[in-house]
Amino acid sequence: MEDTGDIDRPPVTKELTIPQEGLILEPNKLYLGVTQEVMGSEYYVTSLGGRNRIGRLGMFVQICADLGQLGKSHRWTLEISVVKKLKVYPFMEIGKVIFWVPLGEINNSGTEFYATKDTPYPSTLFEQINK
Amino acid sequence: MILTGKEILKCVNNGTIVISPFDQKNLQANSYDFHIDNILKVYKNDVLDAQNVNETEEIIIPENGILLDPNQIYLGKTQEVIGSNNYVPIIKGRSSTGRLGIFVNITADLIDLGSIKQCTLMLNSVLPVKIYPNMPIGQVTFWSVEGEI
Repeated sequence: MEDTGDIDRPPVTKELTIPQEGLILEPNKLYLGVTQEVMGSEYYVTSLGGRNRIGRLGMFVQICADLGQLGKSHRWTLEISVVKKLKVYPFMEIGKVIFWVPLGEINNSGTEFYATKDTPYPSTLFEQINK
Repeated sequence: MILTGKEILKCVNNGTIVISPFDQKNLQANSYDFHIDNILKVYKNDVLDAQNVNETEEIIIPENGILLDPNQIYLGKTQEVIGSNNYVPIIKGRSSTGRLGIFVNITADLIDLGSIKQCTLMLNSVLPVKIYPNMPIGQVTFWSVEGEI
């Protein structure tokens, strides 16, 4: 994404494929990616973080929403931005997943919207703004 | 341990967690969605000084929204008063805001035990993006503690 513009309408995106020889990510751009792995748990709360060696290269793997919700497993959208130009490769090790013990009764009645998506999925915030 | 949505509801009802105003529709499986108030502060100077007071000016987010500039830091606050004497709140963005490249806090997502107030948000966006007053912008989780409080 080069411009998210106004959140009262759907963000404009274009799809890129990371070639085997790598892709140079640029600062001031937002990239949505997806994990190769299906992950999640109905018993433990999932959170995602960048790997130490990724952080040292100035790459954010999550902007501010590292926490998942209890429930369905899925492939996770990554919210990627970089401080300096950085070349990345398909299927590289990029982050780590952590599982937390919950306290209290678990409500398994609902599934979070994004948890049903297995592709990099743009924000649907505009739907809530227009309510 | 992280509190489940049902446990957060129980604690709000018995007073051990404060979220005010509270609406059950904002409750998630293991967090609560909070909203942004309509007041922002921005620093007046381009170069900030870590050792001295940095002057700010106040901006009211109009009903028709405000465009966030990626080169600016905006201090905001939650509409809700949030806190607890028993559980540690951690403030995060929502998946919907992260996917738009909006940082809701820079590095300080942890709230002190016993701090019960509107929480400060530190907003920065990767791309120019328009936000609105009173929109759902983040989520708060609550964590159990070990040791004397």
